[in-house]
Amino acid sequence: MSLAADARRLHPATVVLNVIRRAPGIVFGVPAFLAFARNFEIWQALLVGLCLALIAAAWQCAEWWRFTYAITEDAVVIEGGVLSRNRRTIPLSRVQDVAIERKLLARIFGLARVTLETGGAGEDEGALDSVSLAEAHRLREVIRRRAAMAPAVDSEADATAAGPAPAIPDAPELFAMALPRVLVSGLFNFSLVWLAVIFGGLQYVESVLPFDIWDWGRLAQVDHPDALVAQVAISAWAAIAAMFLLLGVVAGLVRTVLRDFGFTLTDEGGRYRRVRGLFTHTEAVISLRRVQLALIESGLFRRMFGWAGLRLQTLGGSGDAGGRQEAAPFAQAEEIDAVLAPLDMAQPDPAALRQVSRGHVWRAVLRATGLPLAVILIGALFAPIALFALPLLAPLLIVALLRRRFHRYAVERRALYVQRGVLNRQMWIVPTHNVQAITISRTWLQRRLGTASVQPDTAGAGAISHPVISDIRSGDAWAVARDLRA
Amino acid sequence: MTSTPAPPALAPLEPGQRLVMHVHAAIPSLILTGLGFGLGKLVEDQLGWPWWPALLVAGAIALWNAVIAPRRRWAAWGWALADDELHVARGIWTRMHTIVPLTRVQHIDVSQGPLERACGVARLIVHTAGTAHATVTLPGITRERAEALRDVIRSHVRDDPW
Repeated sequence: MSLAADARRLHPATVVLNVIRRAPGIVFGVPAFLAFARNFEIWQALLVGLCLALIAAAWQCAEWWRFTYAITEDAVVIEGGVLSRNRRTIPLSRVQDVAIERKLLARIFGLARVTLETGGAGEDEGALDSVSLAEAHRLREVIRRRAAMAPAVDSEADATAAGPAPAIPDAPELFAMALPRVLVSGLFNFSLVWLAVIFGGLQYVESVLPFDIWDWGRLAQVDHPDALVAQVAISAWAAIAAMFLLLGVVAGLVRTVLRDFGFTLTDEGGRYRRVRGLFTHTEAVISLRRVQLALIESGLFRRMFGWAGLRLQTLGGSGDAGGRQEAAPFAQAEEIDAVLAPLDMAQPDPAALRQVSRGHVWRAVLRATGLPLAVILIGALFAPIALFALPLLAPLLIVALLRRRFHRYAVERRALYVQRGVLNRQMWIVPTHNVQAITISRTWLQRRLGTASVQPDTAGAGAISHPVISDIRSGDAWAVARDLRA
Repeated sequence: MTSTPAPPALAPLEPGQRLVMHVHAAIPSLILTGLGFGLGKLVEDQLGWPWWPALLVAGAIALWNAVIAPRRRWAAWGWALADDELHVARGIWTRMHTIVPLTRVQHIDVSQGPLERACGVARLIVHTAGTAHATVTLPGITRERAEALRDVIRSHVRDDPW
């Protein structure tokens, strides 16, 4: 397709605007230029400076000249680049909104920056920087008309622009936590973060105590003249630990009450409204249309009592919160089912979940113990006593050996279920129509083991963990990929 | 949709892309050779050791990186437009095979650097709404093919609005 006749360039003043924008960067170049100029006559230096400025200006002009945009029948086509050319095609049916942004400098020139928002992950999707204000409005009109953006979306955006949608008074309550529930949840919130805080605190205590609390070797020598001190030290250590443990529990309780007091999730038909907080009362709206997946998480102790937390991964936009929203931080399985039901999701039947391949055990063991083992063995070459650290690997090894037992998956009822984790367990529920792309990857070791990992890509995540299925047999990986697309 | 559990037959990249990859790898290789030479001279100055072993090792790695590695990397790439999905495979140590259903595509770039233009190849970059693999790049296809692929993807997007 050749560029349509109605291809346009940005406003010529953009060149000036860009030069002014980059001016602060030039300031840093001034000392270098002065140092260079000292060796020359003043007119020579000025000539060189002038040449550099001319080249820069020419480059800016070339960039401006090369950058064109056009609205064709079904797409916006943006073309640019002087040496490296790029032509971007944004189908109009994908344009969700046209934003017009005017910063101070642009306003002085009477210009505006137009950005086309699509569902894509990048921020810089379709930016026209800058066009005249009249052109910006024309673009918005034309694109909105041709894209025929659903009026529902539009009015929703307008509503949220005016402020968060007002709460519906008697919307049914889906999930709520009374104070006793919040307190119980607080008891379980004694997390590793607090342990870290405690050990950080010990650093300060240490400087107060008359001995080195980290010097276990010395303290263990009973026939040492310091034996008495050592016994005092051990009891002092225990007391400090108990105190910090208590403090950790209290801190967990306080934190949870502050955050989750009065937690209520209501179903307002098409969207959930979440209210919580003791002093800082926060309200969030989760549009059900924008929910991409559900994640149920539970810790080891929580799970023993049947408790788990539910998060919903949403696409941001229209004033909605993006990322992973807590929908039920501390709930029983039936309560989670109740929250999932309006989303057309459900927890899987445990019998339907399949275990991953045996190869997962090898990889899990290698991942968990490989590096520490190497460190210990290398250490043992210099000091054989390092071999005594080997039993420390036992818990890592046990967890790694158990990984396969708890890593399970299924594709059924138009959803992907992935469970993983030995101590902290995660259960992902991904409706198949929310899978954006599928990557099947095989590392060198996986090829030897005949396994592959399936990585379904979802929108709005940005978080570290994804619903990856690790180490299933190659054929199964392709079958999963097929089922995800069916 | 009728897709088999096995990957479709993949087409290789254009031979021109191999040259692009060789040239791209040549620059770090030259730097590496220079560093090897510098290290050799330094060792000779400070310790009185011969200067050539460092250069030899660096040169061998550089040669492998510029001559053999790009060829292997090029061969690892493959692509297919099967049913209504774009398949892109790449990687030597970790083989990655990405499947993008065309209806999931948000926008499409056709890109060409000066070197690529000289070698008669272009890049097709497909953006989805995802996060980890939101941008899928297919380098080393002819410009005509990239544009044809883009138009196929466009027609799918048009037929199936969100």
